[in-house]
Amino acid sequence: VPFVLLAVLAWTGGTVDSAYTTPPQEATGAGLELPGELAGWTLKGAEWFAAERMFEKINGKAPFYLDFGAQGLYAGTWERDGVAWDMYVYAMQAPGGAEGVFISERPEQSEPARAGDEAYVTAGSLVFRAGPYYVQLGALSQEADTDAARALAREIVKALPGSETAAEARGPALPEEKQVSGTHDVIPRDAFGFSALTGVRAAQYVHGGATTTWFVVEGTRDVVDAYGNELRMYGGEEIFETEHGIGGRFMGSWEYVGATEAGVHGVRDAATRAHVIDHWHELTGVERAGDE
Amino acid sequence: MNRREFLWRGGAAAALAAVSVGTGWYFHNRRLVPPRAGAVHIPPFIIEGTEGELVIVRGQDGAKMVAAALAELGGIERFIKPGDRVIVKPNCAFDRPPHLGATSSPEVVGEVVRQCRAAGAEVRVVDNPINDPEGCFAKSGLGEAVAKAGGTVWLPAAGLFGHTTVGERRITSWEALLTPLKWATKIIGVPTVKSHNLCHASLAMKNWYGLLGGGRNRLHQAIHEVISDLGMFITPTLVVLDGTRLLLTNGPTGGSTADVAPGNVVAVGTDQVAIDTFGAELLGVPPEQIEYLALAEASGVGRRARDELKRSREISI
Repeated sequence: VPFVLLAVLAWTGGTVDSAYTTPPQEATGAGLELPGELAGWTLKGAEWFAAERMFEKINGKAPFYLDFGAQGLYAGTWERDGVAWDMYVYAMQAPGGAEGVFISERPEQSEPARAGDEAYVTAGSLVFRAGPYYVQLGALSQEADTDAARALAREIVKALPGSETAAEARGPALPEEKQVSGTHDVIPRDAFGFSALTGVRAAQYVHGGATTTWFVVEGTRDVVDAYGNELRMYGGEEIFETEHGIGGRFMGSWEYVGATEAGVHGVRDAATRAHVIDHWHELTGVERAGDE
Repeated sequence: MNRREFLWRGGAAAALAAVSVGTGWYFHNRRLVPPRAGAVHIPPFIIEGTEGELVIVRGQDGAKMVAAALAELGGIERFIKPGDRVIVKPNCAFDRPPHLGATSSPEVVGEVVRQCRAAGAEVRVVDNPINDPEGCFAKSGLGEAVAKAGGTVWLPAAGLFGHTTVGERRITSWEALLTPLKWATKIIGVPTVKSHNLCHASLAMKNWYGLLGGGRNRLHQAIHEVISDLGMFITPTLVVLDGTRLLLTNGPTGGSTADVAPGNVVAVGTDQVAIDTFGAELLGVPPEQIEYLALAEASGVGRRARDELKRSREISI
């Protein structure tokens, strides 16, 4: 395919827009830095690893965080009164990336903690997310006092620039009600095989006796149209368009994606067209249009 | 479009297509690194007659499990002779404490060193970690365990590296800890059992990655073929798979004790592929999903099926 495209380019005498050939701007910036002292704790050996250097600290694990939009890793050790906690702060491009990593790495059983937007503790470790940051604190001993870590975590949250995320910056959210427990997921890219769907929050819901997948993603009608183009390209059947969005039957089940003022909302894995429309309105709370 | 323009555009299109096809042909399935002249071949360290042996020991105490496995294999003296120079290669990749499961257990590595010392060997423990080497050996507890057992940690100074041969699929040669490899008469790998987000499992063959230097992150591009090559790189005297702790999720770094489960098992043997297959089972990963196991078997590194080994036993203590 690239050969054909190149040949076509040469044939048509076309040129390549400089936007595609100019190297991307440095995305990682100068890096994150925290104060050397926080509530009696001293930060030692702290170092910023920009995205392209993250492998130097975490090697083969780096691609996992990069997939969720990691801009870099800030790692160091907090020490106080002979007690040490290692800190790994992953600075993501957006709060959704931190949430995605948090959900992916969270164990099935964990004790919630109060730090940042969401946190949990296990023996000798405390993990939290705050705004665009995903933070791991790990003690040198399993018997370490996690109360001290909780207090340290709250101090770190205060010191992290931009860690308090405004509600609108978090993007559209999924409702808690009727959500099937343990199904909430964040998909960093190519959700359900559609390249138009990036940074998707998804979960299963039971409504009207049917279980479907609901998802939300930041964006406008453009995202819906791009999704629609892919749906057609990949062989979607019985495709329909409404005032709000585009849907159809794909791989044996129905799906529907539409835009609202809050973002782009979608429903998939429905058995019938009626179900998919019904679930979408339940998800968005939007009044039905005449064509739905 | 006039005739001149038609010919010009047609010629340009044909030339571009030809260059593209030629470039694609040239780079298709090329090795990540071309062979390097003068790379030193690393000889096999396996003792003749010990091929295809495996003992799995289940228990609670890592050191006792190592001792029991070696006894079941005929004793450490079958593998290590007085005067031998032994390299022990644990997984000390990250500066993380042992309870996070990202590194080999101090008790298992310590017992391997102690056994070799008791057999009359000099023992040096070597790794080229991802993080600062001194910090890794300190925080993992391995430095202290090695010293207590009578061994020496040999930190990876720049002057120790040189080009060696590696494998046949992707890396035929690479910069490695040549001086320790030339010094050694025996090599024992002591990998831990870890999940790995790029290759499912980091076990015995992947552990040899820690003998390499240079821009190792490039090797993640074709990780299964590279791990298969690492299996060819080192043919060890023994592998002691440390399954006392299992890093079941979020490997290879982990970060939370919730990622770690007690494994209560040690597997000791000479067949890296059989040991890695067993390690995959410990992690709950179907071995057939791990491409490098099949590749390594096809390269003659070892066998996946334990019932095809010369001797395979499982005991509990």
